[in-house]
Amino acid sequence: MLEVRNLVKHFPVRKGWLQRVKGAVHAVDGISFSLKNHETLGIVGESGCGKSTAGRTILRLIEPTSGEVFFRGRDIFRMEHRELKALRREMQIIFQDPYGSLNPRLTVSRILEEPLLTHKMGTRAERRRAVEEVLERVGLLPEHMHRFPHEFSGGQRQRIMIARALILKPRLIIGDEPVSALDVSVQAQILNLLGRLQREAGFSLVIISHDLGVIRYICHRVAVMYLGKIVELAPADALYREPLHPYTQALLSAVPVPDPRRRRQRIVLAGDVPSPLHPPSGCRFHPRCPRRLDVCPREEPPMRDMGDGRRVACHLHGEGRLWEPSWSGAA
Amino acid sequence: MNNDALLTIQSLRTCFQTPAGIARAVDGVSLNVHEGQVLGIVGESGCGKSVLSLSILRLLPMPPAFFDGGAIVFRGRNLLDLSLEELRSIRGNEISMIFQEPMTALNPVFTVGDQLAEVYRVHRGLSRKEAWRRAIGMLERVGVPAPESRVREYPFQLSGGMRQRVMIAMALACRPKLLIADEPTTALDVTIQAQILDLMEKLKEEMGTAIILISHDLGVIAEMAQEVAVMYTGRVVERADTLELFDHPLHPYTRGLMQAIPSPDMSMADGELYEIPGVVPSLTDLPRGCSFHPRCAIAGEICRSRAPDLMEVRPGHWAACWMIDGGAHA
Repeated sequence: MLEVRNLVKHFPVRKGWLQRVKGAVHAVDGISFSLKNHETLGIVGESGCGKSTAGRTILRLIEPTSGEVFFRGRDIFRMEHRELKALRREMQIIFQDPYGSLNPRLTVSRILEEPLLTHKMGTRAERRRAVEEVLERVGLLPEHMHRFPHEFSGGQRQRIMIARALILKPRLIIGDEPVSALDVSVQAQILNLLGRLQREAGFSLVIISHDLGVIRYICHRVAVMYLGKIVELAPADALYREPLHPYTQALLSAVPVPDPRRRRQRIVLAGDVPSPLHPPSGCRFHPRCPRRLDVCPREEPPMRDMGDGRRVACHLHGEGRLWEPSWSGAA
Repeated sequence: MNNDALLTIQSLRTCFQTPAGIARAVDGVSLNVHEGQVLGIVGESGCGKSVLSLSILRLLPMPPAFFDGGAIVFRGRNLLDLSLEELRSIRGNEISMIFQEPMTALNPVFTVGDQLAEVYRVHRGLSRKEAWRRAIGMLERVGVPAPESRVREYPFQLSGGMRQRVMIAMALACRPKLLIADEPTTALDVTIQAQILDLMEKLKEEMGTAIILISHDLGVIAEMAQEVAVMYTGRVVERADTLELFDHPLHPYTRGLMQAIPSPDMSMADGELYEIPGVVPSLTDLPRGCSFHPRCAIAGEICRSRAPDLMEVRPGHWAACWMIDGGAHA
């Protein structure tokens, strides 16, 4: 359904009087994954790891540097503008900040009607019915139609965002930190809603988040990113039960657990995430890795298949079969 | 109240004059902080936890804020009665504070060293040179690498984690008796959060500093605090030592919060998350009776008309709810 192959996005850095390109921010540096129908994939990582850029590049909201993204067998990056626009109907994105993403001057019904108008869908009466129906599905009331975004709480605004994404009946929704701005009690409402809607409507989801609890709860499979690379990708159960990559292990151990009786065994990583302008040589994680080998600063570890749908890029797991992105979906 | 407490807050009420009326952001809160202990204050946005923390050092703009009764007693003196001059000698010296966003709390046009050395010069009266030397020592202590060169850098040159370390260095420079930490790790990534929590723990042990730790994250609270107060709409609705609170949460709001968090071993296949229905009400338009009753699954008749006070339901475990033990306290 979605296939991402060796996706790369570098942002050029210009300097000096002539604005010559003096380097590049390696935001996304060759990531590959696929997504099945009805599946939810989580992309998790810390700030600056490239997870948001990845999400936006997949939808071609930003142009990629190289790589391919196949959506239902068609290469998004080779599409004409018109074809892409038609395809956008099937791919939607929800952002973190429901305050900044809703036009404050439009009523909710107008906000929800907008995507239908853009794609010239339905008659006036049909559009109105669609708006009413989608409002109900996200748990808002018909009378909310005529209100403005500022009249709603953060959680309700996120419901409006979800409604706007849903109204076109998309096949793929990308949620970029969809619950990060919300309080815990409201976050639970939105996560449950997303789960329910996915079961009913059957779209595929990519959830981008820094919150490991949220990712675990909502995702079938999880990709862990560090400095523009996927370092590990596995079914959620396996990843949380037995993380293979030292970064995943540290990340999981760092999450404070709301249970004072649980013994803390935090792996505290030294230092900060290095700048994506000058990523470290070899394995990008090696300067902070507690289990570094001699080879790590020299050679970049290839992605290896560890069986059961798990893959990891780490020299500690050299026994696995080399993994390459498959070409199955391209047909 | 307790005599061995370092800081005692008694029936504190902090209000704001707003166009929509008076908002009681802190509405009759009583708490104790003991020497060398961590008191966690947990709640969602708008529960009053930050206003409470700003009230202690009187850092709120007045007006629109004003105190409507109560006392904050620190080592025998009521902070609310002190002159600004007296208060200044306490701020940053005996009680200091760190905030969520260290970028806005640090002055962007002075170097880290200038700002850190100033603490020593103002509160300890040290010479420029000596203050600078101490600043470097303190940076080293909070784990800033290469402190001799970092001390000359400006805040924007540091990462978020480093800035928070600098804030902690400034806050702890005078070995305060009490540190108020308002969401100190919320803006940080988890691996950096782990570093900062470890650092706070270590410095607390070394210096014997008591900490008021304010957070929305029950995980952070569970790891750090010995005692916890749960706040909702300006009131403490439950208070107990940490183990007791997590073992036997009593208030329906506390229970709801705990169940609403997806834990790292829970997936959607295990069922839906517990939802607290509705939203936190506006402080200028609170529901009658218990302010939680419209969102509460077990609210009864009395909850709609009368607000419950904190009651000691189990030894040392206080909760403000009529319906605990099947309504036995109503």
